[in-house]
Formats: sequence, C-alpha cells, structure tokens
Amino acid sequence: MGLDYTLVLWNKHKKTYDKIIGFGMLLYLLVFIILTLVLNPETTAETMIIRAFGSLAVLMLHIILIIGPLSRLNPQFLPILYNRRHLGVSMFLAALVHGVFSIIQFHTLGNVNPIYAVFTSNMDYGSLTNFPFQVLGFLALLILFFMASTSHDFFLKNLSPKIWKGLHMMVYLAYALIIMHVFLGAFQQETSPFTIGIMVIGFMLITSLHLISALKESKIDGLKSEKADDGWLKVCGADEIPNDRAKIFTVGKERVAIFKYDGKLSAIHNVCKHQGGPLGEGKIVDGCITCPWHGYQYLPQNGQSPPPFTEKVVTYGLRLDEGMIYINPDGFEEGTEVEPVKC
Amino acid sequence: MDAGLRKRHKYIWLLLTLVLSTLLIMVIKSLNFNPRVESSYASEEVADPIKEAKHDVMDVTVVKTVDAHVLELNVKQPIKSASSVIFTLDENQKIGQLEGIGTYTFQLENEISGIIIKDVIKNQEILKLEF
Ligand code: HEM
Ligand code: FES
Repeated sequence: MGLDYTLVLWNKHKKTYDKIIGFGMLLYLLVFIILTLVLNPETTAETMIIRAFGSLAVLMLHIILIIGPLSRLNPQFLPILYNRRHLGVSMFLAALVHGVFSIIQFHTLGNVNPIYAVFTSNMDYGSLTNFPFQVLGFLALLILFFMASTSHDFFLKNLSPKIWKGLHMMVYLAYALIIMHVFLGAFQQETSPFTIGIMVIGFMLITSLHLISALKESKIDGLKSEKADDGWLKVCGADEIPNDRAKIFTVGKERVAIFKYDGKLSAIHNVCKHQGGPLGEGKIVDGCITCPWHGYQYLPQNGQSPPPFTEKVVTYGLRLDEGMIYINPDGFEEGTEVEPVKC
Repeated sequence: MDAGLRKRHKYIWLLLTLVLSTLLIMVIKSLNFNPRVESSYASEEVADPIKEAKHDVMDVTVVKTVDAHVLELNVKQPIKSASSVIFTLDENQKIGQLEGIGTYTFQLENEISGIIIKDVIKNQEILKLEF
C-alpha cells in the first residue's frame, strides 16, 4: 500500500504531533540550560550540551518505550503510537548531538582516530566502576542510527516487515546499553541519589508495563473457544458484534478478526501487513476493513487491499448456526475469496 | 503483532528485566555515595590539622578528629573539567568528586600522603598535591 494514502489519512495529526515533539524538546533543553546556569554556573558550554542532549535522549527513549504497552493496556494512547516513528528519529538526533560532542570533548585530544579512541582510551573492560562506558553509548547510538535510517516505509517494504520488525526490536538492546552507559558512566562520577532514583523508577516503569501487557496478551492467547464436532470453533453470537466493527478471537495460535458489515460476516487474520497493527480494532470504512494504526485497507471477503495495492491477509471460513458463529480454525491462503455469511 | 512476535516480546522483556535488575543492583552497590562529613566533627577543639598543602586552585588540609581523618578542600578557582574525581596518592582510592568553587569535606579511611585529582572521562591527571 502506498505512502500517499497514509499521508492523507494522518497528515493533520502528524503535523500536530511533530510540533509537540519539537516544542517539547526545545522546552526541555531551555529548562535544562537555565537550571544548570542557576545551580551550577561554572559548567562549561560543552558539558552543558553533552548533559542536556544526553538526558533529553534518555527521557525520549523512555517515552518511546512506554507507548507500546500503554496503548495495549489503554487504546486512548493509540494516536501517539502512530507517531512513534518521528519521536524515534528525533531521539536519535538528540543522542547524536550528545555523542558527537562527547567524542569531540573527550576523545579528539590524542593523535588516534577519535572513534578508535572511544574503544581504547580506557581498556578497563573488566571493571565495574571504571568500565569504558562510552563504548556502550557508542554501540547504542549505532543501533539507533540503523533504526532511524531505515524507519521510512521504503525500507519496511524492501526489507520485509519481518526483518524490519526484528531490526527495530534492537531498540531493546539499545535501551539496555544506554541504561548501563548512564549507570557506569555519569553515576560513577556524580553519584546523586536523585538522578539514580529517577533512572531506577524509569526502569521499573518500563519493565513492569511491558511485563503486564505481555501477561495480559498471553492470557488472551490462552483463551480457548468451544470446539464443535467437525473441529470448527464456536466463538460468539452474531449479535455480539457491532455493525462495521469486529470481535477478535484466538484461533489456534493466531488471532482472527470477525467483522460484521451490511448484514454479513467475514473473518480475516488480525495482523496488518504494514506493521502488524490489530485489524480487528479498526472499522469498516467505504466497505474496507481499515487498520487502526496507519489506515491500510483490506476487503473483508478476500483479505486483499483494493487495487492498485497488493497486500493480502489470510481469510477464514465461517458458518452461522442458531445465531452462533462458528469458525474454521484452518485459514485459507492469503487473499482467498470467501463467501460472507449472511446474518 | 502475530503470535510469534508477541512471544518474542514477552521473552525479551523477561530477560531484560532479570539481567538489567541484576546489573543495576551490582552497580548501585558499588557506587560510592561518600557522604560528606560536615557535622561529624562539629566541636573544633578535637579537630587537629595535621597536614596541609596550598595551591592556586585549592587549599587542602587533613584534620584528625577523635575517631577519623578528615580531608578538607577549599577550591578557589573554577574547575574546567567535566569530571574531577579525587583519589588518594597512596593507593589510588576514590575519595569523592568536585563540582566547582567551594569547601568540601571527606572522611578518610587512613592517613594519606597526598591527593590526585583526575578527569576520569578523559583519563587525565588534573592536579597532584603532596603534603
Ligand atoms: C558515541 C556515543 C556516546 C558517547 C561517546 C557518550 C559519552 C558520554 C559521556 C562522556 C558522558 C559523561 C558526560 C558528563 O557526565 O559530563 C555521557 C553521559 C550520558 N550519556 Fe552518553 N555517550 C554516547 C551515547 C549516548 C546515547 C546514545 C545516549 C542515550 C540515548 C546517551 C545518554 C547519556 C546520558 C543520559 C548521560 C548522563 C548525562 C548527565 O551526565 O547528565 N549517551 N555520555
Ligand atoms: S496500517 Fe500500519 S500497521 Fe496497519
């Protein structure tokens, strides 16, 4: 599915969110600099820049990492999820300023290549208190660079969503590296219970939200529907699904969305081909199932995106028996036409 | 997300929680909060300056109290370095860190013959003072 479509759908909001991101970053930097000037007037400009951008990047990374589980737990956060990409790229830019200034300030004095110096100026890799923490920051920055530079839909398409998602899950590794960068670096010289407390609270917030939402999802995946004699699953009454909406069920291992529209029922795999958005949380717009994340569309009866687009998802057979919906747990090939059930 | 991806997320976060918690506990334990001992020798009579060194940037005194040695630093000029950490000259033990002009007091574990102030980020010596 092309970019134009997504742009049209989210353009207005995207611009608003981008403004919020830009304004928020400026505000943070301004407050940081004013506070530093008031509390610690001897700080040099370089140190101030390094600290302001480093802490800004960490703050943004925390926000990025809690958006996912938050929007799983409460759909009201979903609109922020759509714009997470720009937040990510902005975070990378803040981290880049921090990293570049650090390298200039701390590693360009010698006669070796400054990047080489990051790895070799301190070789105390076995020590906890004197660990070369810059290396951890450098590796994290490298990961963030790969993610930021492949964040465009062009790469999503060319790398295939699976590889792309795998690449972008490296953000978790980057997060671990950055946490250790801060704890082994900044905190070793400036042991302040306040900043350590904030980082620890941030860590607990992020991990607990991720674990809570993972447990919740596991529970949903574990729900079993009643099996009929022929192996089909009895899922719910036809009147339980609102018009132009869907209900989501776990069928085998996967989740399936059963949509009701124009007095008909159709079932497709719940996972959007774009970035895996939950199709069953979207609605029917102009006769198409519309993904709630970025607006990719699929025809309910065959799981295909309307031409000229070519996305296809798995479809499922349904039958109605005394007002109850039954689903065949074995899906068809992606894009297979299935006669909708009348209800 | 499909079922596989959900599972991967779950295991990644379980692993991250375990590994990072362990590492953070280890790191926080190893941190040196080194409380300054402003109040622990409030009565001046028992404080007995035993060593002194003077320098343009700072004056340094070691004071002996009833039960401890205390290092007093009076920093007179701004410190340019982003990280100024004080170490003992004898065993290169970390004593504490300087943030700018002002008076600092640190408790010492034993007598020392001098201090070194280092920029630990650049791994450079800033100042060395012997008594
Ligand atoms: C080339 C990569 C990097 C290098 C060489 C580097 C270097 C440094 C140095 C030298 C410090 C200590 C500065 C000071 O205390 O004055 C520091 C602190 C810090 N770094 Fe990095 N860093 C890198 C990447 C990153 C990344 C990617 C992040 C996060 C996204 C990050 C976040 C931080 C934070 C939050 C601090 C503590 C700031 C503070 O002292 O207030 N760094 N880094
Ligand atoms: S449109 Fe992006 S995930 Fe569905």
